[in-house]
Amino acid sequence: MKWKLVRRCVQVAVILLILSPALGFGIFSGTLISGELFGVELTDVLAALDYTLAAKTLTAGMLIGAAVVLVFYFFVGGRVFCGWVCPVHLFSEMARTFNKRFGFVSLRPPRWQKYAVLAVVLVLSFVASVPVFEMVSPIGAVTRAMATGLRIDRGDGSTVVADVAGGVGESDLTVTLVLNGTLVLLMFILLMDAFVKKAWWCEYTCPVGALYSIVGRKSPVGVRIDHDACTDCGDCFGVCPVPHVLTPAVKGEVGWVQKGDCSNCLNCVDACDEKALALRFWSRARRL
Amino acid sequence: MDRRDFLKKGIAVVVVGGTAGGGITRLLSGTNATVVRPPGAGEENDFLAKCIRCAKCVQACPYDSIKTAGLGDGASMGTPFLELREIPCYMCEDLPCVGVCPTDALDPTLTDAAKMLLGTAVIVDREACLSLNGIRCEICYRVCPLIDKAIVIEKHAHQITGRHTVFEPVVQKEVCTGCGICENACPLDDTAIAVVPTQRGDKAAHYDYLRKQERVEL
Ligand code: SF4
Ligand code: SF4
Ligand code: SF4
Ligand code: SF4
Ligand code: SF4
Repeated sequence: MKWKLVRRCVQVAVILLILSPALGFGIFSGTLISGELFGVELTDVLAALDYTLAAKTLTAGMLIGAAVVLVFYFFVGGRVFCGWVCPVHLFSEMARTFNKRFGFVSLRPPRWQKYAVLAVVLVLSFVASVPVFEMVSPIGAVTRAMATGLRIDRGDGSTVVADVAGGVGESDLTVTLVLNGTLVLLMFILLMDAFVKKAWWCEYTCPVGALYSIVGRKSPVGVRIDHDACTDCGDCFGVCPVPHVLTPAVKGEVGWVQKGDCSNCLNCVDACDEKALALRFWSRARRL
Repeated sequence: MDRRDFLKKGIAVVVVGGTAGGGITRLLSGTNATVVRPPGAGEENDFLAKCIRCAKCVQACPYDSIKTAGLGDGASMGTPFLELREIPCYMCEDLPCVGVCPTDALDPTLTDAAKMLLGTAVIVDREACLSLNGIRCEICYRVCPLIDKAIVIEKHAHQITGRHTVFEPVVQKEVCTGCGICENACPLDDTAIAVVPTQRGDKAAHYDYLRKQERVEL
């Protein structure tokens, strides 16, 4: 339970950061497609790739912003973006809890599906000259709604985006949900999570997840297994959204949980009563 | 699955997905859109290629002028656009919208709001315009931030009464920035002056001699 609490705090903190301009402490501005934290420009790696392919030009500031993000996720583990940052993943985790009782339809998407989606997105961006994923991205839609959807009602029928704390006290704070097409995609994702295949989007379909999964393949941070302590009880499999990454480690074949698909969510570490699993940086890992 | 099989499947997926996705992309990208884009946006297809739908410009606009396009807005999903009749662009001196754009979708070389080109104001309803009816309205002229440059008043005799003067607002296309402040201010229920977006499709561009001319330096 310990790690899960930490992770939930980080996930909520990210949402608060995106809301921060509206709440009056703008340390972050923009969205998870492109934003600015303490004045440092950060751009999603897939957005930068799609842009470069679609616009067929290189834009230095943006590439630097994407490089910062890339290096960060390489070090902490690529899909840490999914497990710790992305609000769609947080909402998806909520929806997944319904799947046990309401998962009426069963579906087994292939593992390579998200890489295929990534390939299609990149090819399409180039051919159609539009950053394809950013156009439909549920991550973009939901963070856009957070960044620009919180409005102060001025009382005269018009609304302004709340930006300074000063204005909030005097008038009613109303949250306007910018219901557009891409939020419909989010709804669809949550329905899939609840009724069809849990984590259908995040683990099998999302091209951002696919890209970060490639980015994190050689990451120095990961989950280490102590084979002597592991009793092969299988508890970790029950809580892991991508259980196939645990298989070789639990079987005793390797000392690390497979990197890439693993989001370092640490559900498995929490679940392991024998304390056989732990978060480790490579230099501190014991030799097998 | 062996490597060959994987490759075959991969190619099939890319081809099938690409074709299906291509259709959907065209559908969603709405390249024929005639919406007003934020300052600094270039030709529509170029803008659509460059804008990553990050909403930074939407957030940066102090007047809440810029909105994000949803499904029913007739513009590519997630892109920023303005509805000038509701909230015009107030031509901020420092153009914060352009400044925050991480891509070149909003041209960073645009530093002077008077040089932006969202569209061009046009008297769209000459029957309804109060001034053209001989009434002293001229609100659009008064509110124009480029008064006497972007809109001028041309006086001529009232054709019906024969003894009054009509104060006709006339937009100077070479100067008007398309900010929409006039459109926003027109007191009629349905505005008589409206900004026609820069993007008007191929046919219009073909006949658009004026836009090819040099813009007037202020
Ligand atoms: S292996 Fe552990 S840390 Fe990795 S995704 Fe599964 S539960 Fe999370
Ligand atoms: S110039 Fe100012 S008012 Fe106009 S769109 Fe940009 S930020 Fe908004
Ligand atoms: S800031 Fe630039 S890239 Fe972002 S939504 Fe606006 S125009 Fe598009
Ligand atoms: S749009 Fe109207 S107010 Fe703005 S510059 Fe043109 S004429 Fe003036
Ligand atoms: S504000 Fe409207 S009615 Fe008045 S002069 Fe201008 S266009 Fe005509």
